Amino acid sequence: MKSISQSIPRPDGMAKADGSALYVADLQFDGTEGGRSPDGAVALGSESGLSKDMLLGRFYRSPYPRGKIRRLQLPECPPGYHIISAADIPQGGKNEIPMAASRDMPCFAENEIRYAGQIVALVAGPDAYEIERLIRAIELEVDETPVVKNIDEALALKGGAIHGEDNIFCRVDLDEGEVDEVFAGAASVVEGVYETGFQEQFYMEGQGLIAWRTGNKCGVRGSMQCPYYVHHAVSHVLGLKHDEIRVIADTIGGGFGGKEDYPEIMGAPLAVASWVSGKPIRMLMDRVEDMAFTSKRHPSRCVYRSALDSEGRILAIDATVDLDGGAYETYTKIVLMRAVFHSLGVYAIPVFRIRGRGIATNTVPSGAFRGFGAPQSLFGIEMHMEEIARRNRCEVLDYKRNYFLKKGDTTVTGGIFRDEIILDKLIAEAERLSGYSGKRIKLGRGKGQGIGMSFILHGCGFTGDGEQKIIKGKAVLKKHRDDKVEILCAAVDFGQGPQTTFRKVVARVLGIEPNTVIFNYPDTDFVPDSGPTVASRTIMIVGYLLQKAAEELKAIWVEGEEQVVEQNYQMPPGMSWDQERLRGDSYATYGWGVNVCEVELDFLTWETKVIGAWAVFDVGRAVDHRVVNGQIQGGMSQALGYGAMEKLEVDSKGQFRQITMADYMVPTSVDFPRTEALTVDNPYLYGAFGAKGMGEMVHDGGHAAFAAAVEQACGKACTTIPLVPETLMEIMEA
Amino acid sequence: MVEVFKPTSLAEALRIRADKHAIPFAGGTDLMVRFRARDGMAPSFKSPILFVDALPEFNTIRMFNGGLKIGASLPLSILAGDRGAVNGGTGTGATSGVVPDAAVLATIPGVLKAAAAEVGAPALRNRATIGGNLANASPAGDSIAALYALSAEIILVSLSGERMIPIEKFILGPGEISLKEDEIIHTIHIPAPLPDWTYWRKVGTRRANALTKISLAAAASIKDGRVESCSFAFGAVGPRVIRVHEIESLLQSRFPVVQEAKLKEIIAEAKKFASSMITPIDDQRSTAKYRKTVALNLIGDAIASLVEELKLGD
Ligand SMILES: Cc1cc2nc3c(=O)[nH]c(=O)nc-3n(C[C@H](O)[C@H](O)[C@H](O)COP(=O)(O)OP(=O)(O)OC[C@H]3O[C@@H](n4cnc5c(N)ncnc54)[C@H](O)[C@@H]3O)c2cc1C
Repeated sequence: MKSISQSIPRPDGMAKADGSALYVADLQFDGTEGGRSPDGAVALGSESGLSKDMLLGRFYRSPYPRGKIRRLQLPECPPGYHIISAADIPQGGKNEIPMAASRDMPCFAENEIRYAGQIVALVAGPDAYEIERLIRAIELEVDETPVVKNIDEALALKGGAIHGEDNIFCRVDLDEGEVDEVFAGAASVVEGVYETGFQEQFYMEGQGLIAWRTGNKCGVRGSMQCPYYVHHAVSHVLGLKHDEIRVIADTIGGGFGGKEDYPEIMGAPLAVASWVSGKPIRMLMDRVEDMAFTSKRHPSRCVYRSALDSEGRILAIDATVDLDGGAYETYTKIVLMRAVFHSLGVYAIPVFRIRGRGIATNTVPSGAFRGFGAPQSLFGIEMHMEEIARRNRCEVLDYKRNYFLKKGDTTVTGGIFRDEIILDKLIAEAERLSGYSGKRIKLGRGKGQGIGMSFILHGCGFTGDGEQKIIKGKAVLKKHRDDKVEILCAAVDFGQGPQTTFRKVVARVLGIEPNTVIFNYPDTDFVPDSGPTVASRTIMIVGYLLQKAAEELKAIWVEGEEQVVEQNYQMPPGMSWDQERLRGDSYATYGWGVNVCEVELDFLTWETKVIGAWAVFDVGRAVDHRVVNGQIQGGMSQALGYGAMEKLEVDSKGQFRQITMADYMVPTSVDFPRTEALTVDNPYLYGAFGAKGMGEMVHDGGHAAFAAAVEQACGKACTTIPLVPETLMEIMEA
Repeated sequence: MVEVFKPTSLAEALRIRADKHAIPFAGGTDLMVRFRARDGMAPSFKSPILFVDALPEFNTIRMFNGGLKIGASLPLSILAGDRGAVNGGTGTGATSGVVPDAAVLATIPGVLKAAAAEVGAPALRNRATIGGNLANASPAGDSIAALYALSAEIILVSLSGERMIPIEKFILGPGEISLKEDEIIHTIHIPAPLPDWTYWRKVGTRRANALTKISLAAAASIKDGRVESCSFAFGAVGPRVIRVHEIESLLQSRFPVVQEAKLKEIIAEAKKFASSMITPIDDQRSTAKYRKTVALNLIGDAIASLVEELKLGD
């Protein structure tokens, strides 16, 4: 039998390539009253939100960054137009967006403004020009308070605290052993400060949603990673019961985490507007609005201090991990947990103290982005290890090897690495592909050329017992009377592949052809909540549920009969987690990876050129090589962009300065070479056909490998990314 | 709704321009960005539009008295020598026109060809025209820096006739040009002699679809191993492209030079001249300090390359 890894054509590929796939901006009412379109892929009737007289919606956003709202004056509305604000939230609803554990972000600003661009009102109507006029006629008066633009200003409590008394949204602390004692007896201490910037997800399709009302039911559809998150947010804000809400995910043009939280932030006020006006409303964000106001990756500052013995061995690490959470907490706590839990990388450190803080500022609330905190702290630990190795006059790879985690070792939260760790195999492959060690020696230091290698691990699935306690994922297989099998789950394909891999998993178990399996885009009226499409959980967790369901279906298969099987998530045996004390198995398993990057540095302009990129990953097992390779290629470009190019600064009002495609430098196809990539099989017992989550870890280490290569090329420490030429000039001229 | 005109003859175009003060529209790659509008709204043009991309004589390039005459609507892909550059294709849009003579294309000075080749990306270059780049008058306009180095002259036409103006007089400031309400750019003239040596270096924000943070365009005519005339023009380091004439006289008087020590001295002197003229700013793409430092570094690189060329000629 062929390996499951052997690629098949992507079932969603052709429609996306030839333009026939319908994105939310393309949807048109087809004249029908209800039901789904014949192929079941999208519903185009009025019941699913579309109508001839769908209104356009636009937000009125605060021009002020911070202060108490003194007055909000809305203009007179002509017939057919609606201006919706906090006052319109219906009885029983709440003016707050429910996100993870936090409820601090209002749907519409009501009492205070915390960032320039905060949603204050929504204007809807048939004509864009009239909407524009109405938006200009809205008057907002704010008693302005000084703006907090970054972590330092937040900690200095500039203008008083934004949040609580100290501007700290949340803390995550880990302790192991007697840190102070070890430091007191250390032969030397190495300290470094490592900083990373904002990053824009830059999905190709901008944010877009439609909200509608049919009778007492509220619907939202469009571009989103997590239909049930939107479902939950709308239910909370409108005070509706779960069966009074319908959410449909349409074809989605990229997400990278950017459509994890934002569709809630955008969808809740849009749903309120539609609910109150009774009209379907479509809102599409243009690129500038999208870049200026949607969630970005949390900027970070990590400080690592390592106590060394007289032989240069690490005795203990004392670290702080600070994340700039922006104006509201939203997902900062869980991003911070992941950042802290990954902050010692792939190394076994016997004694440590880690202090993590999520910090409030007056910038756009930071949110979900591929890697979710891990790319920040992994950059810190990797660059810190480079520094320690340098101090020890030791080849960094040799030095790091001394600390590599092994099966059976304890995790930073006191859990256990239960599965085989195959870093040595990954390194051997990376060496073979890239020639790393030979080049590292040959290229010298400070001579304009360099090569760097970085290591990552990535906890797959939700942190802690999130899968068990919060998500409780459920997936269903339905065999129709014609014996066609349909997948029912809430997972969305935003380019990362479940349309392909889920079909393969189910088809392989049942011995049928993948392209005969039906797998529509999720519609909460039809599919169970298998959880959000995030956290590298889709193939490992939901895929595994489907595999189990398919095995069950196979066992009870009766031709010509409708049959339904359901699978519910169960924590793998032996796993335990204490959420209060943050102790136990923070993740069910881990993906592992090695990234290598070779650069040339131009001493005239300080421009860097990546001349080689290599990556080797343990993804458990690739369910489809092409899908996995696509993730690696894209993840590497995104990580290299993060490390080299994607500068995103804020101005004096805390607003982003790079908000056009001309100013925000996401890499193009000619900026970096193709990544030579490989995966090494290390099947995971509780993942679909051995698959672990891999969508995020491909963004975890490329930037550190790049920075390490640049350090060699320029002969100086490079501890801040992005390493744009302007920054490199400062480093080299210092 | 905005009024739109698509004349097929120059006479007609000039009449519309005079009567309606319609805004010339070539490739539209600047205009459509400048007047972009939100979802559901039309581009926010304030005046009627005059398409100049389909005028056949605007799409030509030919030799003229040892120099070159380039039609205002010639797409940059032709100047760049892009593989598969469309010319004489559909007859509509900026890519229409006469198929240029390969021998003529071979005479395009390296600095202009290289500058055009680093504009945007292939698809953009098929639309974007040299006249549009020029009239947009951005200090970061890539063909503009090259045209400064080539001492280009701009030929403007109106119903009342034709006038020719040197590029340094044509561009007045960012987005500001010496163009009367009834005039259209007709041709860009690169006077003879075409240079023997040129230099182009664009430092952009990335490798494609990148705006220029700093550029240096230089050209020289060489006779008997000496610099007969030369030009150094810097892009994106001030409100206009800056040509440093002092460097030019320095190089004309001091070459040929072969000793390394002497060369260093000349480069240092050239940097001193440029340093007082280069006044870049901090913006969202780069810093003033970076722009200035790199501009000065590029002078050394360019002069070293010129010296190599002189040595080859020995
Ligand atoms: C993605 C992207 C990347 C870009 N990259 C670069 C780059 O790397 N380097 C660079 O220099 N530019 C770049 N540009 C800017 C732009 O493409 C160029 O300036 C281009 O040459 C403009 O030509 P056009 O024909 O499209 O001009 P248009 O948009 O048609 O016109 C520009 C201006 O010229 C005027 N105009 C046009 N023709 C005439 C005429 N015959 N007579 C009088 N006035 C006229 C118009 O009225 C208008 O004011 C980029 C633009 C985009 C969108």
